[in-house]
Amino acid sequence: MTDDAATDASPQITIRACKYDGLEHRRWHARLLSRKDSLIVLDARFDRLIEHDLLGRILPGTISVEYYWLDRWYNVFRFHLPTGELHSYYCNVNVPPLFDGRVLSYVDLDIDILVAPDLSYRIVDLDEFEANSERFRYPAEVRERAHAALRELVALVSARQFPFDYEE
Amino acid sequence: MKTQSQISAHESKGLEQVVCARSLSKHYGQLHAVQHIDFSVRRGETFGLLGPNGAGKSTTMRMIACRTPPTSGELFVEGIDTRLEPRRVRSLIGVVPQENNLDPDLNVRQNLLVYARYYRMPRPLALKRSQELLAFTGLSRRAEARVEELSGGMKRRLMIARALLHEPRLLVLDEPTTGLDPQVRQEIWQRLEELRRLSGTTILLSTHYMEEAEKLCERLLVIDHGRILAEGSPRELILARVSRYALEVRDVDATPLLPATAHVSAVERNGAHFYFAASPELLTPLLKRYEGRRVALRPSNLEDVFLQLISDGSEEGEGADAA
Repeated sequence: MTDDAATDASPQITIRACKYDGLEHRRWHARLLSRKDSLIVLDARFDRLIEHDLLGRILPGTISVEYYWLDRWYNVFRFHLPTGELHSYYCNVNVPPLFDGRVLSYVDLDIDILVAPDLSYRIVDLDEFEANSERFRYPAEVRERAHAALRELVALVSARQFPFDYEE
Repeated sequence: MKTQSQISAHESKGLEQVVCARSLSKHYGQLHAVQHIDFSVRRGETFGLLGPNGAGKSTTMRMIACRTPPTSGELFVEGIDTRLEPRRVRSLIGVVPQENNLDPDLNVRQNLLVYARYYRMPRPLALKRSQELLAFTGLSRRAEARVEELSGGMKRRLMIARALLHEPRLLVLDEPTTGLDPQVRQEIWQRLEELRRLSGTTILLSTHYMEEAEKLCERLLVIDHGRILAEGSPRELILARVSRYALEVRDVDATPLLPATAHVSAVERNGAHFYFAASPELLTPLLKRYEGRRVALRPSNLEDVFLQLISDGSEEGEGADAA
């Protein structure tokens, strides 16, 4: 892995993923790996077995290197098996996160991209985005930003650009 | 002239089909407003007539409501021939017209009570029904208000309450939310959904709002120039007529439409480009061709189907004219 491993001395960060109405729908903990300009890199580990619809079985000990930008409408998680092997990338389209040094929170906008190690990808939950756009009445700007984020992510993946330039 | 046995056959069908139209036509002189349409409305469903202005929606609604007789074809409501027994049909349906026709000289409650008299409803029953319907439409606190003091949404709700006074088996609404702002539109939709859920009333509505058709209607008839272009549930129509995902590019100016491929169809409409495919990943390679444009990758919707059908229809029309 290219990033320095987080140590126990690294501050623990709580991540809160919320829906547009402000309700939290997921929360987990991570360690701060690095922070430069708007980019925050966190290191999280799965402590139990997860059966995920798209990712399949995520084993305990799976590592999630998480890239958040305070000025971007997406984040990218890079998953490694407990053995260190690259498993996949998972990209979330979201409202740019807020970070107070202890808690990083973001509003999830449903659209996700699952990227395989060979950089083939699948876009998921466009239907959910449409349904929630109506349910929560996303403003036109939010809708446009979300679509622009999707487009930017696809361009980064297709061009194998950071953070999709990881090599084992 | 129908024989008694033929009428009985229709009446027995009426148990499941609240409205049954066969080769229904309506001509006004040279204008063929409705041309040989067949459809049925099933009991308890919300059925929509979707089409642009002048498609023939209102004429069809007027025939069902026995406001105008068909020129030819058959039209049965609850198994009753609308031409033979219009009065009986009218007693079974509630109609919400497009234009406000409430009595401005009366207050909200009086509007309901006066209307109840048309149905020869005993006064105690009229009072009870009015009370119930004012509560259902959220107008109880405005019962003594004059009609002119009501907002557009309240007036429309009062018209719905009035149409439900005699507990009709079929509620017919002609463009129920035209001219209302989006929030009020949602309010009306909520009432109609509640009505269907709580009382099982069959609802027939006409609309030119895709969102309304998609949200409210279990089945739809898409019509234009008096003819049926398609029929089915909103989801069925989307899946049958266009691929599941759409890439929409706005403000394309002079950018040429990219050619369709085996897996991607392409359409240009109103200064926008639309591409359709079975999966979003088939559409993303097109994104780089539209740098700096407003794009949306989304599931296909009823508007895509509608515009496709309407444009196909006009091309056919032009072809016929040219011939």
